[in-house]
Amino acid sequence: MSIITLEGISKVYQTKEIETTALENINLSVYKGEFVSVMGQSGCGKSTLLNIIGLLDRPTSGTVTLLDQNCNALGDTALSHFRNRNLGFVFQSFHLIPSLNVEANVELPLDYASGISGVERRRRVDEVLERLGLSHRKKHMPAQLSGGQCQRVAIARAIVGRPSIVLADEPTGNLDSRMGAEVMDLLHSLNKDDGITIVMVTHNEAQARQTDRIIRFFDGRIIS
Amino acid sequence: MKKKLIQIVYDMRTQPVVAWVTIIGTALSIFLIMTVMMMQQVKIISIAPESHRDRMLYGMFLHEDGISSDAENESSAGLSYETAKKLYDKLDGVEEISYVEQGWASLDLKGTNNKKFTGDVLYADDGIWRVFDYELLDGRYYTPEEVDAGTKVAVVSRSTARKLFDSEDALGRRFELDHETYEVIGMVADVSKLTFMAYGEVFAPLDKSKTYGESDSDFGPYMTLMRVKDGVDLEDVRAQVKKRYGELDAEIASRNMKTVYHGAPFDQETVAGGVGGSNITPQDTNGLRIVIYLILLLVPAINLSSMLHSRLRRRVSELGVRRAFGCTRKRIMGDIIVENLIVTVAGGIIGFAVGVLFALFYDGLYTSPDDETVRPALSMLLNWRILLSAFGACFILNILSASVPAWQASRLNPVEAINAK
Repeated sequence: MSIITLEGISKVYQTKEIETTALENINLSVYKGEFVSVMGQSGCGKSTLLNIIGLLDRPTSGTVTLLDQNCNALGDTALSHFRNRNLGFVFQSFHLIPSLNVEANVELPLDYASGISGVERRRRVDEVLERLGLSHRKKHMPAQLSGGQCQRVAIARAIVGRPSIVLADEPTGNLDSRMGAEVMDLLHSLNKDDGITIVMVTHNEAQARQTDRIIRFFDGRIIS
Repeated sequence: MKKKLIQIVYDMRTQPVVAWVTIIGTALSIFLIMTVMMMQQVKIISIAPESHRDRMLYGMFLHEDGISSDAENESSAGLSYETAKKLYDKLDGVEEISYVEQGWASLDLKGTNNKKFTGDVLYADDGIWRVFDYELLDGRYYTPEEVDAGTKVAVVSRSTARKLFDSEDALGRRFELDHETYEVIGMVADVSKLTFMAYGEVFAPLDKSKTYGESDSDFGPYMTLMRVKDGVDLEDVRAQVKKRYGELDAEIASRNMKTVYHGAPFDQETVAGGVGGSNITPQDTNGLRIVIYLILLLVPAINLSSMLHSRLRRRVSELGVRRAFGCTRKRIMGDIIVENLIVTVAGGIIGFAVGVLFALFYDGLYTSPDDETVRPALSMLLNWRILLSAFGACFILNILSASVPAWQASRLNPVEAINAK
């Protein structure tokens, strides 16, 4: 069953002087429980694709359907709620909020969710931190953590809201190989054990080969 | 709320100059606003012994003009006692009334120590003790019979008693007031000149017979102080007075005269606005005051707005991440406005405290109607209306300064925001 369906997606950036096509007529289906990696040269449109799947950007044309919901029709507020309930994000540069400690960073998506009590929030945060081996770091600030720990916190934040889909944009790009491997193990575990569908942008061929499917991009088009 | 406080503390640590300039800028603005507001509010808010200023009405002047246009006998002045009674006696809704001579008279006083000095004397009937809440420290107030008989008795303030007799033991002692001997029958706590209707150092029975010009003149030195019953609409009282102006018109028509009605009796705010002398027409100063307050808020708001903009520039990436995880635009705006409000209130508290200290210790800020410098008591400044005004000013300053940056932040493209350096 397709959980992510892109039909005829194009994205064109228009300035006064030039028109740049980032994505051109992309058709893609990702199935529930799949771990898909997206590869291609820098600037070929991988991140744009991820942003469109993540509902952070709108396509110039085409239809985005996530979890059987046509997302083109949703307004900004509805998109925010949809992201909060169904999507998790992992960024290359972690993007933890520097003013908040680990616990508060992980709790962030729950701050924007409705109907979750304070007790339930803390329980979920503790559970996720425990699972990712970060319980002893929960009062630490991001500046006090290593890169690997930061990315684990970012993954904890991505999954604390129990999303169906996690979108990871070069999650190991800023980590050394050992920490990168740890993070990949973690993502595989989330995919296998929790059935979370993962779409990961990567430059790392070896890591891509560990995933269920590789989508290769070139100049805004899927080539394989 | 805890996370917002953490964010504020973090901002202060990472951008101390911007944060402190914001707080100090807010403090200065609130200080300015508070100073202007307090100067105005002490004339309006209820302060003992004028404990019911919101229910006070003052019948102060009469304006007469000739009926025919060529008449050149236009007059305006205070009221004769008879005219004051005609216009203001026994009005429905008025619970207490007092007839007094307008303003206090600065007259020579001499006590048993033979020291001569000038004291402020309020000539009033016995109604004054019921209209206002004087604090009687010793003795009693004079009675209607003593007023009617013109008995030379007086109530003095505590500090006047000390000046007259080098002691607060003043009851039964005699002193000279304007070359006549009076007996002290009561002593009250000192009254601030800021409560300018109730103010006096010596209170003496009213001589009701004075008029300006002919003995049957409508004009004289008197005015009425009226306290309206709680819940009564002041306009209802005015409507009755206006009707009596009509009755007075009928009386003076034989003299080819008519009254000109200016909205009497005036309320506290009108009187505080400076009605008096040749200006017997109340000016509506509310509009001007609001414009002044807005300008006082708008100028710092523009500066604070750019400060907030600068603080938010560092948080662009964070705002993008928040949007990615489901924060709505409305929530982004709300969070920024609330965070800014906390900073504004912190600055406001400092500004308010400085404003109060300035009002207490800087001479020349508050003046009485006779242009004498008066220092207000702390209790006058810590009034709920002034506190509420301070918070209101903080709130408006916050809205003015935070709205545009918060709106801009909420409109950031999440992708561009996340990738912002």
